[in-house]
Amino acid sequence: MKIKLFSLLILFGFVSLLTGCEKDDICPETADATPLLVIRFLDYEDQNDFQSVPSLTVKGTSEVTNFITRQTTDSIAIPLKTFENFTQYQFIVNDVDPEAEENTGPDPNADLIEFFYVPEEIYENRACGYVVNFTISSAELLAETPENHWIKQIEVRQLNVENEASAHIYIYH
Amino acid sequence: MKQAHIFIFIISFLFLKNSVLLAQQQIDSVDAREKYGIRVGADLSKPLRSLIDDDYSGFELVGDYRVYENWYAAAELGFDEFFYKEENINGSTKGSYFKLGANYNAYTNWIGMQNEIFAGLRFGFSSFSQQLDGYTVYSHPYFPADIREVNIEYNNLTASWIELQLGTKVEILGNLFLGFHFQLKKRISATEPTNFANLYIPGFHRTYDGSSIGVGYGYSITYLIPFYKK
Repeated sequence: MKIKLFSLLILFGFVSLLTGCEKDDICPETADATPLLVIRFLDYEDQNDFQSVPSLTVKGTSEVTNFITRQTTDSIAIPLKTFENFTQYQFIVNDVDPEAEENTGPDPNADLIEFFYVPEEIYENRACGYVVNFTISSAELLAETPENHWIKQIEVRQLNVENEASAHIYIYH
Repeated sequence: MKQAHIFIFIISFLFLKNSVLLAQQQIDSVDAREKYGIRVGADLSKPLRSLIDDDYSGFELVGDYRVYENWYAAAELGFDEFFYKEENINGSTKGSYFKLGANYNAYTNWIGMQNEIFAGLRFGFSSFSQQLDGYTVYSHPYFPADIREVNIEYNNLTASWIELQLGTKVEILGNLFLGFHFQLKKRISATEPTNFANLYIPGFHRTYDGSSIGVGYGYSITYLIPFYKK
């Protein structure tokens, strides 16, 4: 009888071991991370029209690698630094491949934009931990000499960066 | 010689008669009454886990009182401290808890035995605090990882739950019991810390995102102090 009862003990022990690992131990790829800043490019002359930027390269000035390399697009989404209240990006239009034989198109033109914002940490869940939402204070086109901006105007459309459903910034060029 | 044989025969017969009588007396002396009393002890798994697991310390006192036939009033009182390193969060939870309820013994014992296969129900209540030590912001990997060292304490947290226990108790020595049970819990209330969550609750063990269910187990050693027999 005692043997029977003890084997029951062992069985219960195994059941408790099986409950050790759970799905919310791992942050899934599909989980909502810190939202990216969604930027759309518009025509400066006709401000209702979206206009693609030819061969656009986007690079954080503190980083070595490009975030976007030579894409022709009118819509991008870029990360902001969660550990600072500003992020500076270089936007290069008509960027050329350094390995290309020769540049036949227009010259590349780099403009610097600095985004200022207030980051706020928000608890997400057990596995993913915290994400950051931002409240944008301003987006400034930095001065250059000689002045040769391809970006004409920057407009903050949405102050709160909480998701990527719609554009936060409009850039006219 | 013959006389001696007869004598031995008679003597042995007397012995036989005596032993039969003894046996009858022994049967008569088996007490069919069952012991009633208070059973007190401790959980074995918690101090053991405290020794081998650096991320845990705790203990639990357990007790029950046989109220009526197969019904026992039961209670647990304990302390838990969990240190955790999740994928993106480090922290700890500590606090004390009690559980109150009853067990029903569904096992029919042979005379003189007092083992149990029981089902129990408890109301559990915990008072605890949480400490957030650090976290990594879940963000795009383009910029360096944002690892925060913080030191935020969330005090005066409480939680309550209903717990179903299924288990067994076996008398291994006179009045000394070894038991194991499995726990299934449903949280009924909890104060959630601002901008954080109760990843562990003392007595409830770990929580699951989007679910109020919890699980646990216990290995107990208890000693029965009999008050009376019935």
